[in-house]
Amino acid sequence: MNIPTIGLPFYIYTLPILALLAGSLLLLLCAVSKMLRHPAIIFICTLAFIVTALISCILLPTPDYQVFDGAYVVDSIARFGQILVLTIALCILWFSKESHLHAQFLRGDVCSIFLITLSGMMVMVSSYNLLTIFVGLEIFSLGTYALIGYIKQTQPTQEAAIKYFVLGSFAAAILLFGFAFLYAATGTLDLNAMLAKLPEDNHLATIGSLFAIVGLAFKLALVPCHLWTPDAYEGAPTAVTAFMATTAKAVTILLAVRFLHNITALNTFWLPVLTLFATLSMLVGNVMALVQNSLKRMLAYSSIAHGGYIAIALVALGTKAEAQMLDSTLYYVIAYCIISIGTFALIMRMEDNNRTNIQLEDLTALAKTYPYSAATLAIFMFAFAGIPPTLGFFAKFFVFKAGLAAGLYTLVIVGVVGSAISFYYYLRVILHMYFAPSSATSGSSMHKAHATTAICAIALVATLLLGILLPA
Amino acid sequence: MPAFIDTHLLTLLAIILPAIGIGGIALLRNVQAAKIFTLFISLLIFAGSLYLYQQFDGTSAELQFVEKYRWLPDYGISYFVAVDGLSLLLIMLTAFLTPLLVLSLWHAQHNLRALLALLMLLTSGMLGSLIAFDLLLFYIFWEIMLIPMYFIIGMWGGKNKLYATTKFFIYTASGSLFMLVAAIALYGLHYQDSGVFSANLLDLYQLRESNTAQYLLFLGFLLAFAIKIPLWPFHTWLPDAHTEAPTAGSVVLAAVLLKLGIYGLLRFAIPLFPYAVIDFAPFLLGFGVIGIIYGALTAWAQQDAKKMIAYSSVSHLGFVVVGTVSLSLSGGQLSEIALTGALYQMINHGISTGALFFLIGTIYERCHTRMIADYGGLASSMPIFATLLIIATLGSIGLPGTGGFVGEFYILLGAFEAQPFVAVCASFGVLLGAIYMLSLCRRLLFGQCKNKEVKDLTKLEVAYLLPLIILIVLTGVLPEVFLQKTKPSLKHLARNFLSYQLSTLASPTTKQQLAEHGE
Repeated sequence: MNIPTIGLPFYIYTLPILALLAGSLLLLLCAVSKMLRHPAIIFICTLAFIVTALISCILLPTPDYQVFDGAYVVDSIARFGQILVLTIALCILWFSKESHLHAQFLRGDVCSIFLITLSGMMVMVSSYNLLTIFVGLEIFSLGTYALIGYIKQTQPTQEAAIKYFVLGSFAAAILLFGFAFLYAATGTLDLNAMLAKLPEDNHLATIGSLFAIVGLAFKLALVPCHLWTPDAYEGAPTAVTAFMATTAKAVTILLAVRFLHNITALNTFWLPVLTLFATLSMLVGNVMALVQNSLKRMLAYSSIAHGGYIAIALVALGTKAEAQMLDSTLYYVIAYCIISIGTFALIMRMEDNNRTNIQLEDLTALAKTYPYSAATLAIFMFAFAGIPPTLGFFAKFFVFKAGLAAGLYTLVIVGVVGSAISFYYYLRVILHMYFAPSSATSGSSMHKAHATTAICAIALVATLLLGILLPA
Repeated sequence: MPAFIDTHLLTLLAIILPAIGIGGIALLRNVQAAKIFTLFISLLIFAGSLYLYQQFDGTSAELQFVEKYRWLPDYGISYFVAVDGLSLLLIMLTAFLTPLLVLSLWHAQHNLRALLALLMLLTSGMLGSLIAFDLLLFYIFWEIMLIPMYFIIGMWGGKNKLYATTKFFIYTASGSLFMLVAAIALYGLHYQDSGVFSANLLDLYQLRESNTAQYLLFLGFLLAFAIKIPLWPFHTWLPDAHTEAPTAGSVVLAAVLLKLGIYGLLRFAIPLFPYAVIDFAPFLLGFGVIGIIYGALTAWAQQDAKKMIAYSSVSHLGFVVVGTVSLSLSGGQLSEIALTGALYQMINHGISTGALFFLIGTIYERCHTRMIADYGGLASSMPIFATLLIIATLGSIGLPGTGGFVGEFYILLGAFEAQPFVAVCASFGVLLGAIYMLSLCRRLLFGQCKNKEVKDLTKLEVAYLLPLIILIVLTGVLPEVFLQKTKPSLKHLARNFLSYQLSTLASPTTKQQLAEHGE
């Protein structure tokens, strides 16, 4: 092993993460100081550190970098993941500032956890070393559990947090178990080195890869490892739900891309498993979403289904590693994040102290009272359903194309059937907003939230134009 | 500017003008101003389509008014629009109906601006699907049509609108998804074959897939088109959608949307997968004939006037399907006469059924019931209505002297040459058609007068009905005038559908430029 060199490049390349960690320490200090405990100060402080991290991320020098034998790398996937996570984090911060829970969210300790969670995500996407990956994953998971249960301490949030925590720890253990087997089989923790050493018929390695896939499937909320998702989505404060739905999914997929890419030697074992998970997710997710009344719960099942579509691209990537498979995966991730952020922004605006869990009935006749918001939500629903010319269509188009190019006909057909089912529940939202009897009046009100509205508008423009102007 | 119109006529018609229309409606808060503006735009679209017709070179089967821009060059996807004889008349029909629809909505009250904007979007989707020669572009336009229709039925529909509109959407969107998969697979096969990505239809025509691949891909496309047509047994969404839709919605649905299914067969399914068509033709003919008879018998039994016309559409579209897939006994050729009849019958059905839906709409507005039994003796209280209804009915039945006769005659003639048995069965549909449509007329117009106080058609209603009625007669008397420019394309498709190829014709301006350069 080379002696690690910690010089100036190391600090430059890890600056985004260092900034987040420094910020989280500072915020902890703010939390105990009477003077600095004011929400506005906490907000500005958090914002400043996230922006610093984001800017330093964007300005990172172009050559790729790695240190400690690949324990920390900055390559294209890492850059993509870090920028995505930080951009979404900015949106989430504005959401929470303008939500009815802003007083609870803008506390030093909560924001400190938030920044640590972000740093965990960023470490996770920037490593080839299984140990570092696991540490990153655990940091972000623990942070997420805390964010779910700690901000608003009511029975549903506690239940969501506990459920996610228990099942999540179990899955983390399985993942770690898988990593340990892989280590035992190859004698290395480095993913790149592992690829060279992986023996085809080694049972340890086979079992290890299967365990690891199951652990990842849990984080991705693929059926049958999805049981935590609806409760966690529904129970968590909506800003945190939006955070989980987008960033957690995105970084896990990036990790999966990195990981699966390097155990292709074993793909006869894990591909069928992942195929099965993808199939089940698309079917179960879409069917269960049909009967949900809570908007967030419906989105949870829809996110399970979307996880299934992304898994098509992952299986395609495992079958035939080509640039278009990777592109389609990343494209889907971006599309899904943009549409989700937009949708959650609208849900945030509808929530208040009395109504924390928006039901479909609350949307009744929304088109009359809030024509623009209703139209925007309708467009997001069409985008989720994959109707052209929205971004969601192009994302699905590229994923199906990647699937067919890899010869995954059955999976693509299941995807198509799943999409057909999904039309129904996305349409239900529109049905409630637009087609209510003319006597019905809207019961819901939307509070003013300029930044949230602005984010929503940006997401809308991106949904409508990004697909046409710039695919891939 | 004139040069721009010449080179970008199709984009102007299908995208720019409707977009201006939607933008204008959004900006004009005044409903009256929005109406006038939309009417103006729709008249421009119609004028543009007349210009298109006039400039169209009717002696060539090649693509004209071609516009091609690179869109996603890495994936071989382009913005490629053009027109040929197969789409020309349908474009004309769509553009012709739009101003009439706007007029028919003149006195509608509820949320009129939104309805007009959706109508513009729908027009854009329909025209776009007719001119697109890139698979992805076609799919996008094809799906765009769904959204306005979904809202039109859902927001302005009748009692059972939620059920109808959801069924409509899920049926058609699911069918389209299978088409999407087939399209992507076709695109992938082309890549395997030639090493180049291309969604360009002209490139895809040159692909010769294995029979198995053709079967599967054909089924994918067929499912989408069969639902749209709607071919029996995929027709169940249509009566619901037609019945619950507001008048304007029913008219568009009957006149243009259904035709796009047939157009899809002609443009995509048949030339792309000819061998699959040969093997599946007996089934398609069978379904077509079942559709004709079943649709007619069901229409006969209806108590609801709109539902009766909806089922008559199933029956008439059955004829068109029979005309579309009539293969000559010698094999390797489609029957040109039947094909001509099918194309003509699409136009006729659009005009006469459109007129019928408009007419039923006018009495529905007066009496708020669609039940035939609630009417009677309208001939005495509404003489103008009665006259127009009878002409439209005769057009729908296919009486000699109306376009319907020409279309059905051609279809039956062509089908008889190809498959005599099919033609014999199908001709029962003509008979049944006369029975149920005339009984509709009798029950509405004659007998004891149940609606004495009903006022006759207003000038406005006559204004948007009269063009349709005149066309019903004109198409019957002068079929050559309408069919003349489509013949080369139809002949080309009929003769060469086993190895179909299309090339692009230089646009009039480029020709001019070439002439100027002495070439």
